[in-house]
Amino acid sequence: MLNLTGISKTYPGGTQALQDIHLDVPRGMFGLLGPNGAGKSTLMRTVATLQQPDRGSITFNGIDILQDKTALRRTLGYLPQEFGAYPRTSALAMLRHLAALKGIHGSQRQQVVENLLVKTNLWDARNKSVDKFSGGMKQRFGIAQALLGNPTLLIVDEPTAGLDPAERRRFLNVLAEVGEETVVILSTHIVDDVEELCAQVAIMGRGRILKAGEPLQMIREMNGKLWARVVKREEVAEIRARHTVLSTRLKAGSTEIRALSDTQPEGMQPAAPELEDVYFSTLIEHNLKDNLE
Amino acid sequence: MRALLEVMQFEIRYQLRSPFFLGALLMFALIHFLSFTGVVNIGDISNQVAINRAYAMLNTELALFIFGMLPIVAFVTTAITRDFEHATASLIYVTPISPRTFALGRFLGALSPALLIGLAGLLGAMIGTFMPWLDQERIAPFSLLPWAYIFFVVILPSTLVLCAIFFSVAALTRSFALTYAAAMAFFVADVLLNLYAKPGNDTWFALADPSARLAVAVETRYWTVAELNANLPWGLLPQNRLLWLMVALAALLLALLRFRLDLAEKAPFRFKRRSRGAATTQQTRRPAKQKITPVQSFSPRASFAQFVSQLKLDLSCVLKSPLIYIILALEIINLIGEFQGNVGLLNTPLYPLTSQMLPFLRVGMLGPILLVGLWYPAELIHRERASGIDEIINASPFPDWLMILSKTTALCVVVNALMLVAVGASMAWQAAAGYTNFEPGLYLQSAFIYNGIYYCMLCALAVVIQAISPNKWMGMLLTLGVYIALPSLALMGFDHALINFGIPEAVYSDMNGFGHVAKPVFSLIAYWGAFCVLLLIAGLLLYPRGNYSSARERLRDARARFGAGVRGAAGLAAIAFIGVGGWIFYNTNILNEYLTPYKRLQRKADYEKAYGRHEDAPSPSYDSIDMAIDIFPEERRLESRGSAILGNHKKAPISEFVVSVNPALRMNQMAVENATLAQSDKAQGFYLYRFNAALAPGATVKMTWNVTCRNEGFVAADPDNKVVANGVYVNNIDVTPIPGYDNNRRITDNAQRRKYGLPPAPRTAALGDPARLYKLAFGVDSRTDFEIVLSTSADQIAVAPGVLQKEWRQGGRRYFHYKAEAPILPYISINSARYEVARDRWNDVELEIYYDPKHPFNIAAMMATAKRALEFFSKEFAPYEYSYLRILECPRYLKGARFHPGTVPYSEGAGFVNDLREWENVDYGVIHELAHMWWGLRITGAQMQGRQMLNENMVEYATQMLFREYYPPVYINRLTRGRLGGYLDSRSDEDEAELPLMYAEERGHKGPLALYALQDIIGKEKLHQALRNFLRDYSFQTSPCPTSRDLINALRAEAGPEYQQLITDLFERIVLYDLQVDAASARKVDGGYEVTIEVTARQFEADGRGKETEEPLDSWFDVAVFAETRENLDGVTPLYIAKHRLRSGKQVLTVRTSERPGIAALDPFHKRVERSAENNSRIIAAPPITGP
Repeated sequence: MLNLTGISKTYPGGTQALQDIHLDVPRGMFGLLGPNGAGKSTLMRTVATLQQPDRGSITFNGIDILQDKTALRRTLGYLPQEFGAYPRTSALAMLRHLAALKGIHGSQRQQVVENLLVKTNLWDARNKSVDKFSGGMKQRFGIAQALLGNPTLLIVDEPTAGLDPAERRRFLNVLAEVGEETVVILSTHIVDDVEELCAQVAIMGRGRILKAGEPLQMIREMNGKLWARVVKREEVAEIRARHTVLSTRLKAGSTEIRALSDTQPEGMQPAAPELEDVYFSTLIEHNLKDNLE
Repeated sequence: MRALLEVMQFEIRYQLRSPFFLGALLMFALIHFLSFTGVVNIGDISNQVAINRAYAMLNTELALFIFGMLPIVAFVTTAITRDFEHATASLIYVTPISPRTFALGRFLGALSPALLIGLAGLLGAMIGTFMPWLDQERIAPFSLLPWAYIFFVVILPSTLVLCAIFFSVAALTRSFALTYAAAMAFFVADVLLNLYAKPGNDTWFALADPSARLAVAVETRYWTVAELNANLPWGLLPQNRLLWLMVALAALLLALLRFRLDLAEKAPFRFKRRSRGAATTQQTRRPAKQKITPVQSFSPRASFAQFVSQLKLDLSCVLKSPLIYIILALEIINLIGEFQGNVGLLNTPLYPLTSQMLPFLRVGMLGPILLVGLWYPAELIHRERASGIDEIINASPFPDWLMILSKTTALCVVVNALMLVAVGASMAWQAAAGYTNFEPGLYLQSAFIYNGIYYCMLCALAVVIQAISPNKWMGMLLTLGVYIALPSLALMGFDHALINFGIPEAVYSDMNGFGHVAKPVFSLIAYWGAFCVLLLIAGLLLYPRGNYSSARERLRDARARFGAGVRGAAGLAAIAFIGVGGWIFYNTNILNEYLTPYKRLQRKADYEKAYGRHEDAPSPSYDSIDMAIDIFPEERRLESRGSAILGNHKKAPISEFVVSVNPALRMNQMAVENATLAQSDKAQGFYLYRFNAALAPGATVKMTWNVTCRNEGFVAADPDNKVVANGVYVNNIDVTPIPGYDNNRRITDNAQRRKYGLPPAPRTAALGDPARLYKLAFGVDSRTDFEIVLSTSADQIAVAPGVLQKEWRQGGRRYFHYKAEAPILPYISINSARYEVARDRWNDVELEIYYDPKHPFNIAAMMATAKRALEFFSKEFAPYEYSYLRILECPRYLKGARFHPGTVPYSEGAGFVNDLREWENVDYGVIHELAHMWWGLRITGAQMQGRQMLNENMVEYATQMLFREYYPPVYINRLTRGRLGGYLDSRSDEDEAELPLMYAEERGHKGPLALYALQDIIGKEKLHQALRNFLRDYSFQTSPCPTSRDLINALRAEAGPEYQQLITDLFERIVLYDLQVDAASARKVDGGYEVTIEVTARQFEADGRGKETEEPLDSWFDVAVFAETRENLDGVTPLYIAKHRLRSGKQVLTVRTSERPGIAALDPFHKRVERSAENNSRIIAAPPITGP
């Protein structure tokens, strides 16, 4: 569906935000994982027609995004990482206006808008000004506007940051519902979001795609290479010196350490890999995560 | 303390790094530089005042005060509200800094760049004064004192005041818009105070004026040029600044006390907003969840729906902001001020005809519109980004043109709504005055076509500027720069309509409608309209949609947007722009000749350089004129032909002479008998004829001509307003050849003359210069027989001087044959219009008023005034010369009125629409022009110093005497008071050195004052006997013409020996008095009261620059005692008034009154010249109850 070929972008001042990105995004939920500053938002904005790459091409469903922005915008839903709203304008009025901009007219508009307000549980707050919303309400408003016009490409940039667990759950549920028939790109630095929802994932770092594929496959590839041990705090440094440590987690007062190794390190037990382990190992592989921490 | 310094330094660093600061710095330095080098005119001062002295600097500095407010508002509001905008508030506000320290630090941090900008302006000005191309005569030797004065008395306190007050508003409201509104309130207060301040009541106004402009004006009101150059105003100006500093300090303290470091939604002071919706929330039924598959549509109709949705939001943005209502209030206040200030001659109120109200749609509205244009494009264009919704909006599938078009349309709607309010206000004003002929169609035309479109263009310009600017402050600065630069273009010599963005004001005349100005205005609307479309297309291409990391990317995006539709629109607009531009160019530069202002002056300079030597060459002059003029008003064409007998009235033979022709005329034929054309220059209208045999004294020669005055198409600037469809008024110089060199074309301003390589203009010829005694105007040294046949359209009446011999119709046209009954001066008026005629008779004189049927209001009053004036002047001076008097209404292109032999062309904007009730239904203009029939036509003063003694001065004196004769004293006293103020005012505008009356070169206020004082002392009868003697001796005399000396001699002969010195002081020297009542008391005596008045009196002689030297006083002054204690005594009859002879120094006067005295006054009716009349009166201490 969505094809990115050789996308590069260098900001004035020399920062290489995107370097030769190739990506195939099929229908369904696609997770874009990466640490802060990896270039996720730049990539999202580029796909959302808000920024131009220096090189490369992007097509969606046969649309050349860089040439025919309007065609993509007609089928795009976009939830930016941060957004605001016109002051002194209610959620209802705001959404109605955005619906109009998305080409929804006539009696349908009111219906669509009301439907989305109900769906995102904003019905009771519809007359409140969006800039007075709480974080969760605002994100829900964000997804409501992104869903206007039933987009076939939905880009959501860091949507769950700052949401409480219940809000996050509700939000992901809405996304999951949409993801059945749409291309959804979910950019995040929270691995759990991706693990729960996405059939496909790409890991980004320093403007590159470090790894892409199905999360289950990636996890499977790690089987037999991941080892864990509960240690005392004093021991951590010593183990770090000897092994590739992916993560250290505090668990009930002591520290669980997870390390990568082709053979079983002494004193460590095999562990079941998770997407987070894949993510960390990928970063370490590309020297993007300091082993010593 | 350390925290304070830290906050302040941080703020200064922040501000100094912003491009806005740099831009403002450069712009202020540049504006000052341009203003001081005379490229841009800011403030209006005498060109004798040195540009590097305090007064000239003050003028510029205070005028720029208003512009200075923008950067200050920007600095202080960003300083205090930035944290909310950038969401850094939560970081900073949790630090353990006290709110006061924080706010004070930010204030000081914002003050510094503001002061730097003030200094940059001063520096720009200072550099400007050293530019070598400046007129060195206007530069005084360098002195640091005035510069220091300007900095410490004006720039420093003003910056402090503005920063402190705006900072307080910004801190307390946390609102840009309200701070901008506070700046506007300053502006309005300044305008209103300046509008309503009148001499007498203005001290408090001057202290209250936030810009202090008024303080300077009041303080320096009667300063002479010498004083303006030498002195610094140390009175009202510093007081005003001190007062405002205190106000500012109080505001700052309040702000510091109330300022809180918190993130409360509510600012300490803010408009409360009704929270709507909360109540209704629960009422509507919650729709059931359902699956909807909406159909998206992007057809043109759907695009329009998108546009409408955006437009609604943009409009509500403007309409929900409190600022627009403040602008609305400003508009109405401004309009009312203009309405009230709309008065005619002698401050007579004007009837509120719709044609009188239309100009306010320009002068009253441009200001509010520019405020809208400055603020709202910034607000609207940067609105999405400011609110953070830009990414969502920009990724939506709307066409690229939508945003810029919506913003522009919203502004146009707002502008037109403001215009509609202005129309409503104008109509309300008319209705309040009981006037009901509203002419709504005319209003709509003027409001929405002749002005509204222009205002929309100004807004479109600002929209595009904002679309290109990185942020709104930068955009506002640029917009401000453009708004200042646009009107300066013409001043800098770019006055061609094709390069001067804008629609010039179209004058509407009740007689002639929009007439000939409609076509150029419509062409310019099309031309600049197409230009605006092109601009908007540029804005559409460059409108930021998304994130650009470089200009190249933005251009790439622009190229992508430049699709077929946009290309087509741009192409059409470009074709329209070039096509209409070409058509305008064809009209202005091919059908007509266009010269830049410089070239126009150059042409005059060339004329003088090439032919100036002929100026004093003897020339024959008219003995008789027999001519015909065919007027084709609808075509704006006029055919003039005829013959004149020219006679040599000199004492020597004439071998050659110059004939001058208005260069705009088309020459069909011209010939002089027995002479050959020796030299000709068509472009300059210069023809030199050489006689085959010299023309002997007394001999005559015949000149014939046939010329056409034609207006084809339209011109780029200064259209011909004389030959128009309804209301032709030309005089013979416009449409016939005139013997003699045309010295009216001389450049009179010496600075200009130097620029064009001409020697300084000769001052008016010295009194008694024998070469000028025999010449009246150029080409005139005699009276002439006169006969004319006029023809015009069938529905018009054509009028010229002379007795109407015959009137007939022929070939669908009307003909009129006029013939002068006796020789007249060849100052011929020719009028034609669709006139209504009112007729009356005074003795043997036919009185006729030719007026437009729309203006019947004052015809009876004018007729009565004319009769009274004829009667009074005939009795006091000499019989009226003509058997007719014709007053002719002209379109308002003519200002005031003119006089010709027996005819008075009079503007529709003046006497015909005055509400004369305040002047007892007397029309001042009629009296004035009628007095010219004696003083100006019967007596024709020689063209030299003192000429106005025999002309305007006598006319004004005669007018005053008529009021004194027939009407209550309040009128004459009001007139005299005005004259005195006018004279004293004029001394600070004096371009050359002031000369005593007998030598004066221009009309002035002093002449009538002096004559009035003289008759007051020696008696009216004596003075008028002298005038009758003078008229007996000099009426109709043209070779030699009489001079002011002849008049003074006539006065001296009648006045008697004791008044000779008085005449010398009044007319031959510049003398001022200083009278003062030191004490006044009264005691009861038999049959009344005895009032003792202690006075001090002094006399000064002033030189031409106003430098005064005291000298002994011995003269007569009114001493008066009034029962009332009012300040203005114009209409009060005194208990006692008599002339007392006063001498220098202190003296005690004793007078008796029958009734209880209230006030003792010296010269209460302002007959003598005195600068400080405030201390001329004193309330008399209550007399003791018991007698002696």
